[in-house]
Order: sequence, then structure tokens, then C-alpha cells
Amino acid sequence: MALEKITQVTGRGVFIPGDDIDTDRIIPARFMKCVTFDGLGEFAFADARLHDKEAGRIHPLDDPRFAGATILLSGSNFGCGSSREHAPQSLYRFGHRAIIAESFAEIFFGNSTTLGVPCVKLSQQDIAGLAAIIESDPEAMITIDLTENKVTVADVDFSAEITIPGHAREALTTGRWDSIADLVDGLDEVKKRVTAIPYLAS
Amino acid sequence: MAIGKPKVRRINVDGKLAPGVYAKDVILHIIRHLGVNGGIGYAYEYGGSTFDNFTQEERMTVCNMAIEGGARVGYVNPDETTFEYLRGRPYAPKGADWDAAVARWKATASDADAVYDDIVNFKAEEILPTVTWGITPAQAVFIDEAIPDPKNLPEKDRATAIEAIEHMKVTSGTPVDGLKIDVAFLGSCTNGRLSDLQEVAKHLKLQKGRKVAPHVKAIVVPGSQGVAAIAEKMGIAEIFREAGFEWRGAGCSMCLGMNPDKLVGDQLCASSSNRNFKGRQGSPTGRTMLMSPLMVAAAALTGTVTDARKVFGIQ
Repeated sequence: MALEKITQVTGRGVFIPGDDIDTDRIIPARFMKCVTFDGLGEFAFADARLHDKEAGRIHPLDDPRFAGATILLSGSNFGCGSSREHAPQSLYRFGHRAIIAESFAEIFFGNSTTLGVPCVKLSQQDIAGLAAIIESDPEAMITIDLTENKVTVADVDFSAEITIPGHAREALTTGRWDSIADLVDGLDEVKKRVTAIPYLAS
Repeated sequence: MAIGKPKVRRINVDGKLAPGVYAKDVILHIIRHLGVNGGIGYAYEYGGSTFDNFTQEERMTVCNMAIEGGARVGYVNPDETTFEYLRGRPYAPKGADWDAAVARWKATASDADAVYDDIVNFKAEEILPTVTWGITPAQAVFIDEAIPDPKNLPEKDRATAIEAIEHMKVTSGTPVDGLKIDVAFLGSCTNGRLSDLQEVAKHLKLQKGRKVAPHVKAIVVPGSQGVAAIAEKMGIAEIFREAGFEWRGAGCSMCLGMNPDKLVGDQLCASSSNRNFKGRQGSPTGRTMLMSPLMVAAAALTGTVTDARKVFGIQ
């Protein structure tokens, strides 16, 4: 069952600076006692946002200038720590449809890809450049093109090459990003394979 | 497919750990040196004589924290230690099925001439009891070291270090030995196994009459109900209770604060768990220092982060 082919994501951006932003930061564990992922969006970065509010600052996710942004930018090793799917789920439900960072933690990357949320890498310098564009014009429309391997900004002279592992690019652009849908699709092959795996066959 | 094949990094640790140095110290040391993002794109294969001589449970402690090092997965090749650990356990195959399973498991082990994408070597003798001082598991030092000055760290680590020092309310140059704790948490999937509880109980027993410091809330949470039942039967629970620890039901407890076991405000917790992220233990301003189970016990008794080898007379 092929899903939507994700070749391009276009939208406004929001920059959450910092390296090693872990999944506890993205969605604190106490919000995980849910039966479904519905409603997780409002708790994305809950503690960081509250902390900023108490300190008289505005967290980027609460900054009205960036309301409705669909592309999240951050630093290196984004999504490290606990493997909770709740982290990409909360960002997805907050409205993010793609993430740009210097690098991603493995499991977060996999969980995001299987939600159809491309995680693409840019150099620190290009992220800083993109963040500066967003800061001066929050309405700037960013486009991530997975076919052209590029990030561009409408009406701005900005173009940078993205990095995304081949398997993820292929999965997203061919609409095969949901591994479970893939397995269901190939149920006959799965059944055949099971007979060849000793501990499943017996 | 949405899943890619990782590269493999072989991490060798060779030699004998000094008394009072544990598997937890080994993995904190590895992450300290390879970084929390060093494993991105990799599976970690641990080996070398230290791992050969480790019990299966010690290996599990190290493998458990491969994720903290950024790797997708961590493993030690199956060997006789592994098979002995599994033999006779619930759901383990029996009879001819067992022999077939062992043959299959053996076939999955790396060949002696396997080629790796990367190889890293550590010496066991160089590893000392290790504690984290910051908000990532890589922000770790030996117990005789001080909180680092971000200025002296590589540029890429500086911003996170500054953030960590602010969150942890610590000062660069201050020794970690002596930091006053509020809570001691012994448990989690990293270090809540029977051998962890046995090791601590063995040393507590030798300190007969010594109690948890009055200002410290100390809890012991077995990793599973099975572990809890055995530990109770062996008298381990009683040793902890006598020393002033709360013996609790099995579970995740204060590792991540999903049940009422949470830090309050900016309490500082000596914890045998695996993650010290901001807010991890249930309070957004709570502070976590990761360490081995015996180091947690030493902190509980003295009320401060301290060298367990001195507290328990380990030489």
C-alpha cells in the first residue's frame, strides 16, 4: 500500500537552538500516559516553554511570529535519549512536517521517517543562515526538496544541499515510509519468510 | 524500506577493572569519550577481555546505554556466558530445541577476522568510578575530578556545558566529590538487576548499623517482580530496609517520573539509571547524577556524592 509520496515540504520555519535536544525535552514522560497520540501536540517542549515563560522569555514555539510554522530547525543530535515515539508524534501534532538539523539521533530519525516527517541534515553554517532568514522574515517560505536534495527559500538567495540517508529518501519519495504498511502489503512474502526462520517456524 | 543498515563500531575494553569499578563506569567512560552523538549511524559491538569476563548482567548494563552514546543498538557477541545465563529460564528452549538454538546463536557471533567500520580501544585499568555532572550522559567525570570549565572544552561541547552548569547549579572547578544530594535512586533497566542489588547489599551488610543520611530519601526499586521476589527471599530487601532504604515495588519508578516517584523542585538525585536529561526524573528543575549502584549507596549513606571505595573500604 503506497502512501503519499513525500518529495517536497514547503512551509514557514521555527528555530529551536541547541545541541543534543533529547526526547524528554521534546515530550516529558509524564505526558506519555495516553492511550492515543491525539492531543500530544500541545505538550511539545512543555517544560522548556514553561521555563522560558517563568523567566520572562518567549520560547520559539510560543512566539506568535512563528505560529503555524511547519519546518523545525535545530542543532546536532536532535532527538537523542529515550526511544519514545511520542516525541515525533508530539511535533507532528504540533504541526511540524519536516525537521532540519545538523544531525539526528537514530531512533528519533527512524520514528519520524515512519510518520512521513523528513529529517534532513544541513551544515551548522547553513542552519545559522536559514535561522537568520527566519528571524528577519518569519513569513519566509522554506522548501525542502528531497528529489533535488536542496533547501531553498522563496524570494531569497538561499540554497543549500541537504543530506538524508538513501533508504529514507527512497522510502519518503516513493510513498513507502510506513514499515508496517510495507509488511502488510507483502504479507505473502512475510509468511513465506517465517517458515525459514527456525524460532518462528517451530 | 524506511529502515537502513547501520555501520558497526567495535569497542574493545581490555584488562581487569579495579575493585569498586563497575560496568556502569565502563559505559559512562565510553560515552564520555565517544560522545552522545558519536554512535550516530552505528551499531556498537562491545568486546575485549573485560567483556569476555563480564557476567551477562554486566554486559546488559553496558548494552542498555548504547542509545545514550547515539548508537541504534549495542551488543556483545553470544558466548558460553550468554548461554549459561539463558539456560533454564522461562521461555528458553529445552532439549533438542535448546541445542539447535545455541548453534543458531553461535552462528550469529562475529568471526574473528570480521571487518568493522570503526574500532575503538579502551583499557579497563584506566577507568575509575564515574559520575555525570551535567544534562547529557557524556558530561561525566571520575569521582576525583572537578566540574569542568566550559572554556577548556572543545568548542562543540561548550554551549551544552554552559546550559548544564546553569541547570545543575554547580560551579566549574568544584569537585564532584562532596556535592550534597537529596535523593538516592537505585533501580532501572540499566542497574536494577539481581546482581546489582546483591553487590550493594553485600557491602551494606559489612557496614552493619550504618544508615542512610537523615536528609536523604533513598529508594530501591527492583527491575522486575521476578528480581524483587528473589531478592526478598535472599534477605536482600531486609538489608536495604535496615540501612534505611525504602524497598519498593518493581518498575521504572524515578528513572523517568511517570508514577508518583518524582523529584521535587531542584532536588539532586544520585541515580543508577541511564538518563540525566533536564526534567527526566519528573521535576522540570530536578537534577540527576548518574553513577553505579554502589556509588548511589555511598551517596545515600554519606548524603553526598562520594567515592564508594572509601565509604565501603574497597581496595
